[in-house]
Amino acid sequence: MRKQLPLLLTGTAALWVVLCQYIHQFNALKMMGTTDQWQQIIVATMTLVGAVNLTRIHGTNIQRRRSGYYNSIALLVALWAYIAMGIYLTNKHVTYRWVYDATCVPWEATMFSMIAFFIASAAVRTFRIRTAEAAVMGLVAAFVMLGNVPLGPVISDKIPQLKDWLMNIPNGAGFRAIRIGIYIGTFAAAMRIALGLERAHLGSGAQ
Amino acid sequence: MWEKLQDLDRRWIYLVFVIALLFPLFKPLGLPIKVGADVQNFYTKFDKLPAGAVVWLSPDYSPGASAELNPQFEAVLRHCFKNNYKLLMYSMWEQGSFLGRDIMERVAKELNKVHGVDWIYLGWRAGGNTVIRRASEDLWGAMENLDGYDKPLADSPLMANIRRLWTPDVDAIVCFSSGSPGDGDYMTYVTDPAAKEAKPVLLFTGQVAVQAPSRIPVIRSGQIQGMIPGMGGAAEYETLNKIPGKAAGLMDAQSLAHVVILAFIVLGNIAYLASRKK
Repeated sequence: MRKQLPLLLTGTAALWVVLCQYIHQFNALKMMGTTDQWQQIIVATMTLVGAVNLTRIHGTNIQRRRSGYYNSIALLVALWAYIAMGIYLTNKHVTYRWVYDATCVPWEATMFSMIAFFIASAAVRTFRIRTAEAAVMGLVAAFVMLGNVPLGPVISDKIPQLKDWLMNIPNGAGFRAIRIGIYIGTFAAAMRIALGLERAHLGSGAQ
Repeated sequence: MWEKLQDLDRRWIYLVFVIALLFPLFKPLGLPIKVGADVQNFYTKFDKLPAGAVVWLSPDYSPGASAELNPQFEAVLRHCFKNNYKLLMYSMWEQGSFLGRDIMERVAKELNKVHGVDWIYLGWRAGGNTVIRRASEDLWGAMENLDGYDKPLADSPLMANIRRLWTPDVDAIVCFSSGSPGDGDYMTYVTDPAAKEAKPVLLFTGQVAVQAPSRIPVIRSGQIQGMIPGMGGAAEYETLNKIPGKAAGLMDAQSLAHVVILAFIVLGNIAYLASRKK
């Protein structure tokens, strides 16, 4: 029953979505609103489950004094203090908003900005034109990079034109193929889960 | 010398890069911004919406993408207010709702646009794409009858005739996306099925530069009407808007940064070839 019930629920939910979303007659009945609401509640609950899971993992790190355990302390204090602040003050409160604006925004922006420095470093240290394919990639990258900034058209009007051609024709064709592949793969994976052939989501030992 | 260049301490590279980024900020190069086909196409189609058109703005990103997407969001927002479009702002990303709200409040205040009349902030709800799917049937229900400031939607004159995220209540969606959920979810749940209707909801998008190439097929197929790619796209949009913003001022720095990376690639390869000959 531990396996059958979740499989039955998965299959029923999948059938419900397929009927309501893809079959016109069911879609017209507008029946999915209620189950959408259930899903919203489940997602909100899962966020709490995630927080509890994170606490368990990092709590063990702290308890066993694993290397870098002080990072786990910082993580748990930040996590639960912010959750408590959100519950107590609500996420509309000016202090809650200030904490977010003064920490998350600059930290995350800094993390992403640093990627530019790693790219610059990697460019000089690792990108070596050893084969004809690498030479083509290097040339294409140069034209696209220059075509994407105001300097490109200053050097030559042909650079943005070439960039547009590269983006629309070879890149467009490549991405079409990738997308079709992804969609077929996703459909196959979804069907396997809906039909109960794929059971990894049920946890260890379910196979 | 060539071997040394190959093993160059990365801190020198970082220093050159910092100089390349900072120099134009203090001494702008004044490079002209030429509007590309993608942004021109977006602007032309978006500008054709009638005054009073209802536009759904969706800043679906987090601070990591804000350098590129905040200027895009602000440029489109100013265009909307200039054309007297009515705006609904909702984000599928919690952090995006904060980022978008701050810009929206500032620009609305500057242009004397009234919350609840000219624009409304719907905030964020747990559930990702489920919320917009539900909003396509029942927008008020999906928002629990409250706006993003927890005020009843019934108090907003703007919301009186807007019941669904669907045609004819909403005319267009602009999704500023740096990942998932994002524009793909609007294509799946809102704009594509609506294409069967006489007047479909039009989908526009602003993308981080790294994601822009993947959207080419859906723009060519007409599923997305137009795209603003990266900060360069935002600068082009500001140029078309004739309202100078942050992005245009930063494009000189981005130009030099690209040149520095290309120069590093060339130098690294010259060093590699020279050391191999030895």
